[in-house]
Amino acid sequence: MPTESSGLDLAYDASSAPFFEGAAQGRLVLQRCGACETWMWPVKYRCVHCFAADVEWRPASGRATLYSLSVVHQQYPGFPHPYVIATVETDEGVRFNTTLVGDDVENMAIGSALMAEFDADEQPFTLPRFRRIP
Amino acid sequence: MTPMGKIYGRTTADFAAEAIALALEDAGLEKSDIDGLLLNGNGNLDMDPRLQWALGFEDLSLMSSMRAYGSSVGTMVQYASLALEAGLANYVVLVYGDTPLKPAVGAGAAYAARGVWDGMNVLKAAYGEFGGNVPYALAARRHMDLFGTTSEQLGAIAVAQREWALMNPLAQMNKPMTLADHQASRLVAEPFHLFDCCLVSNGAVAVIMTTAERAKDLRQPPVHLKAATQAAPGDNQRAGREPGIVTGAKQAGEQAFALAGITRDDVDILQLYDCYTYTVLVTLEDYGFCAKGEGGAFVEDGKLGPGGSLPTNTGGGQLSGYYMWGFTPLSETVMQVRGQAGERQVAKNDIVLSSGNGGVLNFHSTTIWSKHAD
Ligand SMILES: [Zn+2]
Repeated sequence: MPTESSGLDLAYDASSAPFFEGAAQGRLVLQRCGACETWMWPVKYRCVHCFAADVEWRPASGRATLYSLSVVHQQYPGFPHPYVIATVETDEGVRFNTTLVGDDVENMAIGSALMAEFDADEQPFTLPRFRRIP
Repeated sequence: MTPMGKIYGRTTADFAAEAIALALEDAGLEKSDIDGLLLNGNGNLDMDPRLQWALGFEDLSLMSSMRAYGSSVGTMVQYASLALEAGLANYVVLVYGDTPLKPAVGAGAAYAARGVWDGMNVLKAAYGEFGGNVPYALAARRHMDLFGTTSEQLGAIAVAQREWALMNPLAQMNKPMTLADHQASRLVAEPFHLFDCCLVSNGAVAVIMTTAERAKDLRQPPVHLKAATQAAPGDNQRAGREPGIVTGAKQAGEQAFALAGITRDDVDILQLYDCYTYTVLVTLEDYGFCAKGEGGAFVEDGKLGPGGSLPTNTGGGQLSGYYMWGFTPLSETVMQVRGQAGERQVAKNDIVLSSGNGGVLNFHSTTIWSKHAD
């Protein structure tokens, strides 16, 4: 998360609020279809698989696998240099981009097992980050 | 096409008007002959439908601003060809224009500042995923992990295209580049070095399409369209699909080869959309010029460069030529098929395949062109 000096005005809107409210409470909250139980990356209004309208926000396990990562060397105001963007795939089968925490994350092996973690004090809102687990 | 690159103080509409004027002159047509106008820009408001008014075109029967990101070019060609075949229009101008470069603003900043952070997109700003570098880098890194592809192999694509650019007076990059230069260029988003990434250009390109019958009366040798396909595979971000590894090029390519009635062995020259070196590599695989995962070994011998067995991006592409989205490959396609590419002209130029790609290896378009009517 950049500092105020980045000049980016960051705020989430109502459509994604359950994700960020969940993060503030230490949970990775995603969407799941009540009809076919497919988990989805938000924000979806109908199930991406069966197109049912019964899409609900549910806490996921927080467990994931590292799918890919990039060490970013471009410099942006408020960001460390360099920093890491990672693609993870959760145990529920949802893939998205996030970041990693821990030692030597730049060299983390693709396929590493991960767990989401959260800093309740992060401003202006809490983001999921992923740490390698044994 | 207009001059390209760091040309300041002109609007996109100004560039677009010049490109259209040049295309009319090239074809031997008058503005009043034009009855179709299809517009495309990189999110630039100047390429709005109202550009028609700024250009002073009246009584058009086909007019739209089209958006499929970097694949737009092929969708524009496809729609124009269908309209021409149906008799809905006689002469259609396709135009791309953009002016992202401003004095003292770098390319990354020029595009990064354009983001609108609504819904989950706020995560991109929060994590620092600005512009296209990171998502393409993530796809390339995944490919490396699955197949052992190396940065040097990606570099071979950049080096080959620079060799072509050196023979293109329109190209922005005019200094030689070695593989060592590629490796020494600064890291942008790993695995990408600076020389894995496309340029940014101010300028515009216009292409006029008409029927083969009408083209007989025009000033230039005709470039015949054999197929125009698009594919939009989507990405539900679910496990089990690898959208950065198998792209829309697979479906669009298979359909285009079938429609054109040719095989990939019949293709003499490739003009592949190259926002990044990796885009070229994965597109070669998806079109079947080599097996999935073997793109790195396929390109590393320099076969894409001058004198190679598969001349690719013969104007330097967007990596070393100019960044006009899919109009970079299309403009070079036209020059090569006409035999007007000067020093870089490829001797065998019967069939040229041109691609468009956007939305991070998702929206794809394929067009196949020939110098022969049949
Ligand atoms: Zn469902």
